[in-house]
Amino acid sequence: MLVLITKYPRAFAMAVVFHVIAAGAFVVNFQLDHKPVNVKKDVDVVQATMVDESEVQAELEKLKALEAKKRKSETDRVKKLERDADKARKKRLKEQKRLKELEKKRKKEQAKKKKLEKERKKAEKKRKEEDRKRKIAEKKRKKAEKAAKVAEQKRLKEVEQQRIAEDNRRKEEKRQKQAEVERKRAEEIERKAKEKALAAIEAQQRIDDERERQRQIDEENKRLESAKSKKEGKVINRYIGFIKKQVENNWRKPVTVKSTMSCDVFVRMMPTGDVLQVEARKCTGDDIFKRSVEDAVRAAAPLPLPPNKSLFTHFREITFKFKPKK
Amino acid sequence: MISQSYAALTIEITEGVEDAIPIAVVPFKWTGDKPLPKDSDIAEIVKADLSRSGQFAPLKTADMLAKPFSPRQIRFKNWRILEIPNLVIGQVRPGKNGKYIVEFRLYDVYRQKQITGFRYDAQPLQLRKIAHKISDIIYEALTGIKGAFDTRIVYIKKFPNKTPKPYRLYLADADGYGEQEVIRHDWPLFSPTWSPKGNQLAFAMAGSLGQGVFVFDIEIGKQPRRVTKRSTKASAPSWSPDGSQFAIQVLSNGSADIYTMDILTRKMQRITRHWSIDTEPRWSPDGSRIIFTSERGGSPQLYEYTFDDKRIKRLTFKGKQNLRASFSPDGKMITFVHLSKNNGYNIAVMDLGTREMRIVADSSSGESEHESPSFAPNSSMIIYAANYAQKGRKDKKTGLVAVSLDGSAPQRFVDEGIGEVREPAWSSYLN
Repeated sequence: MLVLITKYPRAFAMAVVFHVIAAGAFVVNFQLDHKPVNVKKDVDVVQATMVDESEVQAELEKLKALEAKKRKSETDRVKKLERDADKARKKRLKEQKRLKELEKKRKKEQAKKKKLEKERKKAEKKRKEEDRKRKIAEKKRKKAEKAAKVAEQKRLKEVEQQRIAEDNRRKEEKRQKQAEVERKRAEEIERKAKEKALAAIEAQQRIDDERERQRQIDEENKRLESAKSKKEGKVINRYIGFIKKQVENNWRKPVTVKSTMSCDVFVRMMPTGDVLQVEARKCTGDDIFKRSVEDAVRAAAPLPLPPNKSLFTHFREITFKFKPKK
Repeated sequence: MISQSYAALTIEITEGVEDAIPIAVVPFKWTGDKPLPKDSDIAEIVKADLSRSGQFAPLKTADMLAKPFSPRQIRFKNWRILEIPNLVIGQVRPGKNGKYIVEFRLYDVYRQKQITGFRYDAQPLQLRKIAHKISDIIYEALTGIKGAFDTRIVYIKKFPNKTPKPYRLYLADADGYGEQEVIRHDWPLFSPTWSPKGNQLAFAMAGSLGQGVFVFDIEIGKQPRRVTKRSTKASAPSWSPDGSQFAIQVLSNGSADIYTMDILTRKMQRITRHWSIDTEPRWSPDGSRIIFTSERGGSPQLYEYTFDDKRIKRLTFKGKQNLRASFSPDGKMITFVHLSKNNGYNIAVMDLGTREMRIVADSSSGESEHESPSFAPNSSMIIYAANYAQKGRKDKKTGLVAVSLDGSAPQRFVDEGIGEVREPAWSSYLN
């Protein structure tokens, strides 16, 4: 393309130059068509007449005067004729001169025309040469263009092939994705089926659990209701906090304690807050740990209990779950 | 976390306290006619031992509601009321041939049952040792950690006004009793240290005829023998855990470096090579490394040499100086002297796992300077020497102090107004 662009301006410049030369040649030809006009050569001669002396003289005088006048007139007329002839002659000479000059000018114009014609022909030849060159260049350009076009087509073909390959790949991918989606869907269906089955079992379990919990809640509610107040539930919770604090303040954690150790300490309470029974159950850890948790509860006793003795039923049995953080 | 199930109350306990364990040690009943030997009150010795550990809070005798000495006399209510979960009772009876029969029982007050109990036949001079053994048994039964009361210490004393031979090496029980002079010399004695089995002692001596490392058998009582070559300026011995080698400081061409030496062949191997002072080597209990003090960084700091890769790493970065390290026998910690910003010489402990350092004996008040810390064989206590400034006097009073690892209950127990007490070293388990 770059080659083509640099070639075009040169060819264009050549064409402009040619047209300017052609226009100049046309104007010169039009002036040579205008022809010169020819002038006639005819001269007129005038005759004189005599008159009385007195009379004729006068006449004569008159005549004389007339004659004189006539003569003068004739003279004038001759002179005028002569002047006119002269004038005509001068005019003719002038005309001749003008014609000569015109002829000269014409010849000159002709020479100039010939020269111009020659130049025109030369220019024409040059133009033709330029034309030929331009045609060659054009041919070359077309050839290059054709080659470029071929290359472009080849490239397009390759691109097309790539596109097709890409298309195929995408299609394959899509197909795989589709397969994956379908597989997942199948799995999902299976999973859901399983879940549903499991859920059914769990639901039943939950129903059973819920029933059991409800039973316990009902039972407890009965008890709480017998305590006749939500306020009393709050009191219970507050005292749970007091008891927890008191046991923690009395638990001497052995140096050898580990976070893996745990112990449930079951406690049976007396209404006084003293402990009737302290028993470590489900213990992981050594004897020193086990003893430390039991001792914590014993050392904490008597445990704080709500002043309302009717609430004691909730504190009759307590399980302390010891789970050291260390 | 409090959760309430409706069937029975459940309360979760995650926090506890780290208070000392309350215990009552009732005075032991002596049934003989003549008085017991001096300083042989078993209950008092046991109370002092447990108290010194920092992990027990013995009940004062005056606060006891009763003083039972036989199982039938015990009314557990009397101890429960005082919230004392542990009770020790015992008696001493005359035995045959001037011996004594010592018996003790440890009770669980809340469960009203005996945890443990022993009876001993003892020579008169063994009563204190029996008391320490009882302390060891109680300590282990209640903490799960082996007791270190029936152990010994070695230390150096210097008597500036006593001539000749102002330098003395002493042995004593871990509580400072039964002090026994073992060696005396005109030349300064340094760095006494126990062999791994506890049957030998090594120390360094320096004088006009050079310096070297010496070893002697405790029981046999022979003259100490020089183990380093006469031409070697060796000091600061530390036994390898198998007892076959020493790590020592050797002075050569004005430079102090660390070497190891095979005790039998005397073959030496150089460990450090630096123009600055490298000293006070301590062999780790697992034998894998040596910790030492070096001034290579400009001030004395602790460094660690590993036998595997033969590389030296700096261990301490806090404070002006850190020196005179000693391993805990379980190998998990080191204790050392830490010079803080305000120029106080404190005793510090570093956990070798986390590299965290804490002060267990603070001297920032400037009243005393602490030096030469050494771990008890159960790694739960530290003994060190302390210099106390005395009002109106230029010279300082010195003594030994035992402190538990949490820094509680420091107790001075070897107090010497005349001589200077230095460089205590705690033995390994003796039985």
